[in-house]
Amino acid sequence: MATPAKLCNILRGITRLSLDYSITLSSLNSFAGSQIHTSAACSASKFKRAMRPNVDTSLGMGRTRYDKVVESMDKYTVRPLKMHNGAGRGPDGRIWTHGIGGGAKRNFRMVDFVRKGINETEPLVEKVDTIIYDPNRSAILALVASGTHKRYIIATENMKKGDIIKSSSHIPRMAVKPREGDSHPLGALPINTIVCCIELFPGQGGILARAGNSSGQLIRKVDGRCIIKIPSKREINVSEHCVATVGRTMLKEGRDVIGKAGRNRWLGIRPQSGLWHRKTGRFGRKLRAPPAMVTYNKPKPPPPTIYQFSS
Amino acid sequence: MRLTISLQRTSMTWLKKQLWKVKKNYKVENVIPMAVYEKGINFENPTPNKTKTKRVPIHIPPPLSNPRKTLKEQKYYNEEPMLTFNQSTKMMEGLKQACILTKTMPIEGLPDSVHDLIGKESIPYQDELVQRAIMQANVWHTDMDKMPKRINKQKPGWRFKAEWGIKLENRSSMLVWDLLRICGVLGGKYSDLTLRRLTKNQLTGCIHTFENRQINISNASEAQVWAPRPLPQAMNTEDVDSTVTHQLPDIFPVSPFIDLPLVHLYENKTHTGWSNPKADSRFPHTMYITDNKWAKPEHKDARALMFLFAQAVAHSKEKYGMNIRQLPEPITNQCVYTDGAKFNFVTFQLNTLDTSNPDGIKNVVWIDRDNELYDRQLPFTQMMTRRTKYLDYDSAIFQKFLAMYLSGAVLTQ
Repeated sequence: MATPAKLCNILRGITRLSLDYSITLSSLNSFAGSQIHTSAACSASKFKRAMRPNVDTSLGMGRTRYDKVVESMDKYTVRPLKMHNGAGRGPDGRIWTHGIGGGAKRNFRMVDFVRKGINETEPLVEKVDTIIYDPNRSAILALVASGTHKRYIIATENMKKGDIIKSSSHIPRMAVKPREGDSHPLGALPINTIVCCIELFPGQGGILARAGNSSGQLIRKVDGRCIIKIPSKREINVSEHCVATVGRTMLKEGRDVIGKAGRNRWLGIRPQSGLWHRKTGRFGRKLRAPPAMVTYNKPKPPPPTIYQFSS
Repeated sequence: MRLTISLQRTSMTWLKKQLWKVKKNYKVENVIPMAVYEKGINFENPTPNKTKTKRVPIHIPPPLSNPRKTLKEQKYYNEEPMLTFNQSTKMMEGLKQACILTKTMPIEGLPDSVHDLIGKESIPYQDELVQRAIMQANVWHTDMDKMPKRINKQKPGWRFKAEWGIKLENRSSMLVWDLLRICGVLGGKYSDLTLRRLTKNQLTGCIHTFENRQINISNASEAQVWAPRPLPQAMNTEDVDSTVTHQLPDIFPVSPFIDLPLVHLYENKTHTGWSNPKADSRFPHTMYITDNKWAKPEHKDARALMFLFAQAVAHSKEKYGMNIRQLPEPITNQCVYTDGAKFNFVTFQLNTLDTSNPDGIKNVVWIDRDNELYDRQLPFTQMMTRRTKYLDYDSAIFQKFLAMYLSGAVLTQ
């Protein structure tokens, strides 16, 4: 979960441009004063895409936006916050994603993806209060409490009211006995355990395997590094201090069948045009070689220097 | 298209208007024959020329500047925030959390002093009167307020129509006052009932310290009965001494202060309900609390316990001094908690004020919950006022209500 302050910084950068993108348009010579790389091949749509700022996808820019709500908040709350309907428009007021609009209203709940202990040795013990449906994701949330503090986390498969869960950041000499719902660093877990909410870098917060009914598997440990198979069957290599939750995420009850066209409109999805549709999974799969393993050695570099076009 | 016909047509309405402008102002002069003047009769014009009156300018005062006061300008503002408990708080752990804060031992069911009174007295036409009170509160009253929005979780796409009727808060309060009026019929038989007092929305509460933190507990209940003499204690002194062995519940890792908000606006004093300490009929008997919003049963139990505890503490501090810890005589009071159809009967006995240790004597609470006086079946779709059914009237519930009312006035064997 990005903190509110972090979100604000991202949103303030919307009006700026980063030089990460190599803008390719010959007619950009009028921007000669500003330092922009130009190359030969170009198109108008590419230019538009390049003009977009580097916005985090977790902001929910597509259907609904909660940027204004989060900016006004200065601390964590459990209260569901109201969002306004973006209808596929970005902060510039233009269409970014097509085929989105309408549907039932949704409230935003601040989910805490960072799970760590009180100290390096002492774990944080919490009690599950309720299990709550969240319209913004396929997973289900659990409201947990410890002391006088309450927060939302992502619920695992068999979690129920009254359960006590731990979140530790200690790596003992021997592997721990995993219990569902607890969170440990990957170095502390035995091989072949099923995990979810996996961090890519220590202290970053869970990023992978957060959707409903999804999980990864710890395959082997090599020299302080852990190798995991993520839900897309790809293998990744991360630090052993990265935290993951034991178990599989919970899936919501009820059917997922969309029986009629109107049900898609309730969800905020508009009808496609009748000409051409992208093929989905039901048309079969192409046999390819398994993708290569990705290693996450160092965290993402800081964003490059920012230039403002308008004075 | 030929436009000449339509363009050359004369507009009769315009002409009529022009004529009327002239004709309506046509004046006929009064013609008086000359022979009348010769007789010497004077005439006065009955319609004299109107003199223009001076318009007095109306004085409109400027709009009053009444800005909203900031938090620090309020009357009851304090710099140090305090934990609060009122009728809108929903504690996570419910009765367990309240038992830790007030150091009490919960018992299910009614105490013997109340249980012996069930069915001992009856009122003529009792069940008919109670059923009339139910219908008055739910159907016959002429309130037409807008009802809250209904949600059907099985069919989330269903939109209910807007409905008008009697609100929950009015429905439950009407029923309580009607039932109290029926109970008052027995005043001719027992003289203590005539000396009692009934108050509405009276504030009672205190400031309670637990683990060196202060909690402001206060409530303005719907109705409150005050008795001329204190209620007899519901538990014997021998049984009270045996509560030492009872262990308070454990809610680790949750703190007992969870869900109690920190607030700057509060009054740092105890409210007994009466300013005059020597007034007649000022001993707390029963408080009647009504729901204005939906709440879980565990929240209701916690609220009833906390408010009874605060009322008893305020009463004891007035009686024995502010620094009292061990009471010479226990104090008992009662509570009836309703949502218009279900009744919770709660009795509380204050034995100690020393909540610093979990050891020693405990306070005791009796809870008899979920007594359905009648079943209120809502229609599946719409037309709530016509189609709602009131079924399964239970006459045993009013007998419990009457027993709670008569306790203290009737001698039990």
